[in-house]
Amino acid sequence: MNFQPSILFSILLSIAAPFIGMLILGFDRKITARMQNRVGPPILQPFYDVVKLFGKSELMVKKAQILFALMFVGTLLLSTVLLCFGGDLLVIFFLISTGMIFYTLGAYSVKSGFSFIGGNRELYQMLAYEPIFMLTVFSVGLITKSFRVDQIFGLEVPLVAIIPLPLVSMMIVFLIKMQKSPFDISTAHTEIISGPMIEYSGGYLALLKIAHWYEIFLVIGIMSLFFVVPGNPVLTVVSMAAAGLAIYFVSIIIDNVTARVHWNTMLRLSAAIGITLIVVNVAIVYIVAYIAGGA
Amino acid sequence: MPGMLKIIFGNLFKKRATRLYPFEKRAPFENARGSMDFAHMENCIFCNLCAKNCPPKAITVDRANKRNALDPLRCIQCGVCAEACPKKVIEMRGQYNEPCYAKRTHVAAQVVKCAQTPPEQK
Amino acid sequence: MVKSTITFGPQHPVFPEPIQFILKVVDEKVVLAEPQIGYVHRGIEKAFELNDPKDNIFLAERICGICPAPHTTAYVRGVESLMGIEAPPRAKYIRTIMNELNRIHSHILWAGLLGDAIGFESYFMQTWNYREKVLDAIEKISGHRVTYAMNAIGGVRRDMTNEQLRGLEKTMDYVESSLENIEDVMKDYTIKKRTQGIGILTEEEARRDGAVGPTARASGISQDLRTSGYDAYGDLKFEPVVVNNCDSYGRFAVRWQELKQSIDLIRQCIVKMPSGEILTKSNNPMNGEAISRVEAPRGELFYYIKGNGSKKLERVKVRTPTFANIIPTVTMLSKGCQVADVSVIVLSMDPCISCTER
Ligand code: SF4
Ligand code: SF4
Repeated sequence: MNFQPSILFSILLSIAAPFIGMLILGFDRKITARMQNRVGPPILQPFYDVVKLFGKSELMVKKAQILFALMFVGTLLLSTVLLCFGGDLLVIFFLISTGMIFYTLGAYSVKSGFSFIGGNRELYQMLAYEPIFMLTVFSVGLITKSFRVDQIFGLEVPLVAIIPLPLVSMMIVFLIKMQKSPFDISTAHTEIISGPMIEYSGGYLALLKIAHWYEIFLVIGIMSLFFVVPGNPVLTVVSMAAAGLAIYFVSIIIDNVTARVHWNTMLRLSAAIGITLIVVNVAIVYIVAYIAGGA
Repeated sequence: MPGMLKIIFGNLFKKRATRLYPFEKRAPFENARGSMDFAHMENCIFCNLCAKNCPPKAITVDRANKRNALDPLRCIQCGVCAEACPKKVIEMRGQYNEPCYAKRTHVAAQVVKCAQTPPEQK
Repeated sequence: MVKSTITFGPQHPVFPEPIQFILKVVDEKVVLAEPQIGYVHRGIEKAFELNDPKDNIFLAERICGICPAPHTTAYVRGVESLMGIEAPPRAKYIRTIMNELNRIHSHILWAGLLGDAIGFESYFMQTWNYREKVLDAIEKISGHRVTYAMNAIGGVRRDMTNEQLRGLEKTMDYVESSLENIEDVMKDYTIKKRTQGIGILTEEEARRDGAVGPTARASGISQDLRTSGYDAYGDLKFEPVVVNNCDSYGRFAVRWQELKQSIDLIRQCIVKMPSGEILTKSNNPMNGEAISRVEAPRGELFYYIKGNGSKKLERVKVRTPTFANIIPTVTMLSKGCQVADVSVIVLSMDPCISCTER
């Protein structure tokens, strides 16, 4: 434990988190536009969108929706802060899941067909990515012998050198969370018109957008934990940022070369690829340790 | 998928295909029909052929006051008037119509060059 | 098992035009689909009776924003047969070229929309980029990219110079090579996953429900009005594209091959282009009844025209291909698809609602 992020750094990071997510989203839209040979919106477009939404009048179908939107943002905010302060990965994971439950409840709380199907699909998505996410957290825990984020900084080698395959599986989680093809099924705008978000408007829709910024930061943050270089703070920051951006770039590419699949295809793919990869990798780590120990 | 990969990476480094339209305009193609214009009003003989042939009846010819009027929002830019005019008064400009906030008629008055008759007041 | 009702449309991102499908769903499964049409009725058939027959060409052009060429061709061919005249050969070739260019841009547009419906945005953008070149070619010939205003009663309004023909040939080369570039989406795993086996319409069902155009040809029915040899099609060599997949992928494949067929037809037209007049003038009275049928990109387009010897027509009736294809679509939807497939199935027959409702 020769590197402890300072308190000040953690506070700054948790304040900057949504804006980092926002900037990444802005670059995403720009790069996607360039890949499609378009001009694309300004980098700050997600920010302008949210500012504009806050200026709009709100038309909510049910009061309960507001509560669920606030809870959703609240839990994500909490887990972001936990991540920035090096908290427990397991708690972070459960907080994110709770947030998604609130999001789904918000979708279910209104009487709209598209919102209802969106809620259903959100649950299917959770069914697809939660096992991968949890197993990844577990495999990190097995390696570091703890679920605390700051333990990762105390390892001898970067996590990616020991367990690279869960990172590949996490890519599936990432695609689902970022609402990218082939797994953008819950917000599929040509099928169910943004599903769970359809009955939100004005400031509360803006809240959901901000929650999405948090999500981006959280998932990229957790994935780039694999690239912590122990004992070298500067290199750690550089490699984490580079890894985060690289992961995002890969997801943009995948988004641009695939079509959206059915929810059952998604479940099958995530179970077959995601879970197998993690299990194989953990098994290899143990076998290697056994052989090394036996020899 | 590999073909698509090639295309999107190619696009990353290619000049973009879209234009920022109102700021960047493409030059119209040769003989493109665009908005119509009474370009050579001095030749007009007020024969009413253009108004008669115009499918949506967008032109009014005012022989008494020597002026022609066009309702640009009725005009479908078909170019029939330009073909029908015996004096080649009407030209198709090749540019699309500008967007507008209010419905207004374009009036083209004949300015008489000859000194005997005083110019018309609009 | 929750049964609920979803009103799919009339305003829905996947439909460029208003049509509504009332879906009864159990979880994600559609058990019943009910179409509702009539949102964009504009009374064009009545307007046909009030206008001068020669102005009606521009009206027919505005029935459909995507296929102005087949609509005007069908209309002028009907009026010509009422008058007892025929367009000169060169005019017929120019009409054929416009019709085929129209088919190319319409099919590329459709292919892009399919990509959009299944969340493949980069493919959508790319195809529409290629389509833009076709529209440019159309604008260079006719003077406008959407409303061509090329047809006139007894011929066409504009001639094509040799330079334009050569330019067209170049555009065709470009379109062909671009299509080859992007062709491998047909083999893409996710696209196959979303289209194969989705929206099955067997041959019997297609015959029973009266499917037309690519929808019928994808179900193994060899039905293409161009083989009847109207305009210049009699002089050109081609075979109707027929596949036996009977699903959305089949309709995709039919359109994709028709794109190549159209490119080939335009090349043949350029080679065989006769010289001479482009317009037969006539003042014959319009008396009696006439029907004219044209193969539009979406299928058979039918015009019935009745004149009574006066200056105006007594009745013009239009039957558009989409109208014929709505019942087959309902058949496809009612077979128990998923909500996610509704947009793919409805798109796979290439709906054009504005022209259906006129
Ligand atoms: S047809 Fe030409 S000359 Fe006759 S009124 Fe119109 S613009 Fe004037
Ligand atoms: S371009 Fe066509 S619609 Fe416009 S004024 Fe001339 S004849 Fe009328």
